[in-house]
Amino acid sequence: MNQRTTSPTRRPRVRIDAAAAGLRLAIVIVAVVAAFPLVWMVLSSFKTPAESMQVPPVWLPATPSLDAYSEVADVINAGRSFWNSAVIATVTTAGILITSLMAGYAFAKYRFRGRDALFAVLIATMFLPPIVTLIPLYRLVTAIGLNASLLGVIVPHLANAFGIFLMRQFIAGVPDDLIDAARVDGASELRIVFSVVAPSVVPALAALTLFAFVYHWNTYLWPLTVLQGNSDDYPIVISLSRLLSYNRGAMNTHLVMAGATLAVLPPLVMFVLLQRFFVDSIVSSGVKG
Amino acid sequence: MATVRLDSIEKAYGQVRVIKGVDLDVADGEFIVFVGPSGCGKSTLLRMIAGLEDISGGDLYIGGERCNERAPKDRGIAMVFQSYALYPHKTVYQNMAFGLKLARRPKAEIETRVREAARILQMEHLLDRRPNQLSGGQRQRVAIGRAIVRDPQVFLFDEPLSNLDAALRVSTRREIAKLHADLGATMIYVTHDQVEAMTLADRIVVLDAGIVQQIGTPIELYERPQNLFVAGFIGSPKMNFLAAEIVGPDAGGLRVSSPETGELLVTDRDMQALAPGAPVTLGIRPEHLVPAEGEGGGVRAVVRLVERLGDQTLLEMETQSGATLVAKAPPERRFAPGATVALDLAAGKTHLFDRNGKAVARRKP
Ligand SMILES: Nc1ncnc2c1ncn2[C@@H]1O[C@H](COP(=O)(O)OP(=O)(O)OP(=O)(O)O)[C@@H](O)[C@H]1O
Ligand SMILES: [Mg+2]
Repeated sequence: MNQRTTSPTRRPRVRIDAAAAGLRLAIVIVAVVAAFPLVWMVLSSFKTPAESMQVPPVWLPATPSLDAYSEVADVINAGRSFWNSAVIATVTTAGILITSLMAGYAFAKYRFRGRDALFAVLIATMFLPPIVTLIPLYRLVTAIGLNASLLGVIVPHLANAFGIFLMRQFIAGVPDDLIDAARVDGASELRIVFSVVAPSVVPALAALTLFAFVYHWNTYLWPLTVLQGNSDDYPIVISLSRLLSYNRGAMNTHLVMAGATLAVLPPLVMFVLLQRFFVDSIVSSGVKG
Repeated sequence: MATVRLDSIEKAYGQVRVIKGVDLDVADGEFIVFVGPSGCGKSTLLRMIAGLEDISGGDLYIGGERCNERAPKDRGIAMVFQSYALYPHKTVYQNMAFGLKLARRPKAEIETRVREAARILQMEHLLDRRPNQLSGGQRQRVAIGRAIVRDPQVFLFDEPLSNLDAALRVSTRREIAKLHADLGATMIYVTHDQVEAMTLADRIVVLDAGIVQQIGTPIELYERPQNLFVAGFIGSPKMNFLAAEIVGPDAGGLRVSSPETGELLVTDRDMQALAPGAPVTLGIRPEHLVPAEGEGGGVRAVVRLVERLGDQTLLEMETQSGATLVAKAPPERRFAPGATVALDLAAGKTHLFDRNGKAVARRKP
């Protein structure tokens, strides 16, 4: 009698556990597949040139060494390239954050003639492939004399349609009363954007920071075009490509892997620093909902 | 402390006129309440006084100075919002100090003023909390504290209590009344709660569709509504309205007749106001329509619904002509739906409105 009543309630629970285990397994498989190239890259950076070219490939370096890293420093000016990348990614990201907040605030909270049409045009630019704007943008930058400089790399990307779109969506959710209260308190509009609105959309800002930083850390085509061979200003991603061709491309794999390992570190650090904001926002929205 | 004067204030959103010429003189230290149905423009009017909404027409004076174009912070006002509108990432202390900080007041002064406001509202122990660590009532306190700290000449409240539960609403209402007495500041308060309006106000402004229907003390509005709208809006349960007709002047008033009441004399009216045969609306408050003891009683109706409130019983009834009446009965008497009840009508307390809904003029003293 007792067993009869307990077993039907137990069975679905077992099924749920099986489903959860299956899901977990799937997640693990996806994670392994996704992490494989990254792991391969890091492992290869510790190999000797011969090991890195061996067929069939060897998994682990017999004697892990840091030689590849010091050799990278000999071939390219790694420090300088890192600095250039950092300047490009940081300044561009900061610019995007500021312009997206301000424009997003205006689109979300101001009523002005042509607002919706202007926003539609802005959204439309998001669908233009970057390659289409490459040449016109290059000619523009050249015309104002910014070519072959870091400034030329940075300035055209200080504002970004996606960032404005993202901030508008989130700022629209900030209560009008909050903004009005700040006005009564005597806050200027700039002050409202940065002291009242920005703290209310921190998760969105964190997401935008990560997105913009990674994108502009990795950007390749645009700096290559604008810098016109001014290798002093090359970001690390372009300098890495020179490792490929160095020594006529013979047995450079370990070098490229070492360089690439270094190059992924900053975006990785960025992610680790910012991820608590995503987790926070998921947790808090879960509690509220 | 300051006076506030609205002179033909108008507001239009494009072609839509929302406020249609409001005149109002608020005395120094007066407590004014705006009431009216949803969408009548109460918040818009308040926000125009605050400077959060442009004024489309007319002039606004605060403390005798024209303020139409002044920024909110320079008007000497503070505002308490229905949603509290506390800065979520700031502590209670920082919420209250924000305005003073922006005004670059010295740190010591900010500290003194915030602590003083917290003391007045008995919330010193909450100063380090964030808004999400407070109850609804505590949040509203902080919002009021933030207003006090600004030391404004005029306090503006937009339905500050409507997010609170019934018990808290009563106690916070009393605190606001006490605050008004203590600070002596001019206050303008928006609500659609009649009890709040009646208990807090020195004078009530009844708005409908962007037009002032009547301005007066709570008792004036209750006893002498100037039109049908105010008569129906002030008072709960609502005033009963019956279609009637003027019979003629009589003994310092007007004799009127309706199918439900028969003929009756409404005293204290201008005898020349309306000619015999003119259609009028007779207004009777439920407390002036009481089931008769024993026989008599001029109005007969069938009980449809009985609401026993404990201290009184409300009867919803239907007359033979099909009109619905609400009467107030003493709690000790029992009524059953379907029963026919005779009602005593206090003819002297009835209200009379002409065909345009305007109250028929009283007799000149
Ligand atoms: N931005 C706007 N554009 C057009 N009409 C508006 C706008 N804002 C408000 N209104 C209209 O103005 C009228 C008055 O609005 P308001 O918020 O002042 O009403 P209210 O009396 O405060 O109502 P409630 O009691 O619901 O708060 C409403 O009919 C509303 O539709
Ligand atoms: Mg309102």
